[in-house]
Amino acid sequence: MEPDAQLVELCLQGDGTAWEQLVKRHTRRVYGLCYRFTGRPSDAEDLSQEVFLRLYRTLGSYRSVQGAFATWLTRVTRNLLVDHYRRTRRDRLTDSIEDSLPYVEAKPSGGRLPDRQAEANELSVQVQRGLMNLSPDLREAVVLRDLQGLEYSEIQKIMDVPEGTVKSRINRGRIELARLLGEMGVRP
Amino acid sequence: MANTMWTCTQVEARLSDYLEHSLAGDEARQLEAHAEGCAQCGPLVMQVRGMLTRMQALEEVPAPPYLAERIVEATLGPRKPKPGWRTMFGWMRPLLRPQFALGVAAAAFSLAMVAQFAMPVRWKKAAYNPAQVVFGANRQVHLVYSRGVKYVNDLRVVYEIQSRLRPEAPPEGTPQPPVEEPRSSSPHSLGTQQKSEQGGAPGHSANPARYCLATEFVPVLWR
Repeated sequence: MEPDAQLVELCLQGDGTAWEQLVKRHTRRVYGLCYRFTGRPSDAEDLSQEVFLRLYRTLGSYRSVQGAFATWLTRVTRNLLVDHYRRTRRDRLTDSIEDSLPYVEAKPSGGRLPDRQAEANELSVQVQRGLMNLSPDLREAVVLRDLQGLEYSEIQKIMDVPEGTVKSRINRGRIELARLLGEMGVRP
Repeated sequence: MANTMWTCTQVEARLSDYLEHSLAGDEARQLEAHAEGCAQCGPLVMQVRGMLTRMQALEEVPAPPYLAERIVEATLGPRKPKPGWRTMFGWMRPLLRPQFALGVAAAAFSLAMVAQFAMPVRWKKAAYNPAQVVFGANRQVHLVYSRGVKYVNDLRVVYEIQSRLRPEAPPEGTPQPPVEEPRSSSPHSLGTQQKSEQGGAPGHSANPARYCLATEFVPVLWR
């Protein structure tokens, strides 16, 4: 049994420490997905919390035989993001530009030179800008594949669409994103 | 378009397969052949390839450090601290701050000083005897009364000295009466008086009677 599945078992037995470990292990992944999808740190924080609240309530429905816990968690996250997107569609039309400015990763990661770190931060911001201009279907496909590094089969489970659709969305999303980045002046 | 075998649409549709090396060998060659001669597809292939390489090298966006704690608290509620010596003596942590220690030291010093002056006599068992208490209270009352009387008398003397030393201001416009010279038979004393009038302090030299008054009343003040 994978470690996550063991933790889930312990959580279901009422072990608070196991739940805490589970949260700490997956907060970054969930937050990253939420941030890449919404483009706003505050929304990403709230949505991450909402994801784990939902997870806490539905933890009993997880079956390890159906797949990895991380895939299941990503699916829960994705469904919540889709709900959030539909719910806030009207709000987004009236949002100011400042509100949707991408978040710059302030904390440099260890081992990287400052120049490289600044370059990576800039690219991260540009990628985020480009992603926000993609349609939600293409955006989530590209994020799951190229930023979260998931396999096609996992993405298929998460998005609940045929594999051909997944591949098509990823391909179209990449091409559109590359064109957008080219327009922003990002050289290959 | 240089290559007639593959169109731009085909290249775009299979681009991800090509970049992920899942195209068959001849398909990959056809795509490359088209991209080499196409002004649109060539740069596009390069752009997407470069973008993927750089995106995959991007680190995942770090979550705020407090987020996991916030989530745990939102789901499990506020957590109790783990038992241990740190939690047992955790309440003492604010007391170990230097500001608090300095405050305590200052307060202790002040209390010691107050105790020194307020309670110079140590209480003994005999002090609780009612007769002793009454006697002590009576004594204290008399002491306070006599000190008050002495204080009032001293004040009276001081005011008298001040009123005598202060020259009376004549009313404005009236001529100043000539200062009466003290009569002395001794030329020596006259010379001293003149000298003091010339070079001494003005307050002390005007009237020798003031010397007498001052010397008379100083012991009264010191009593």
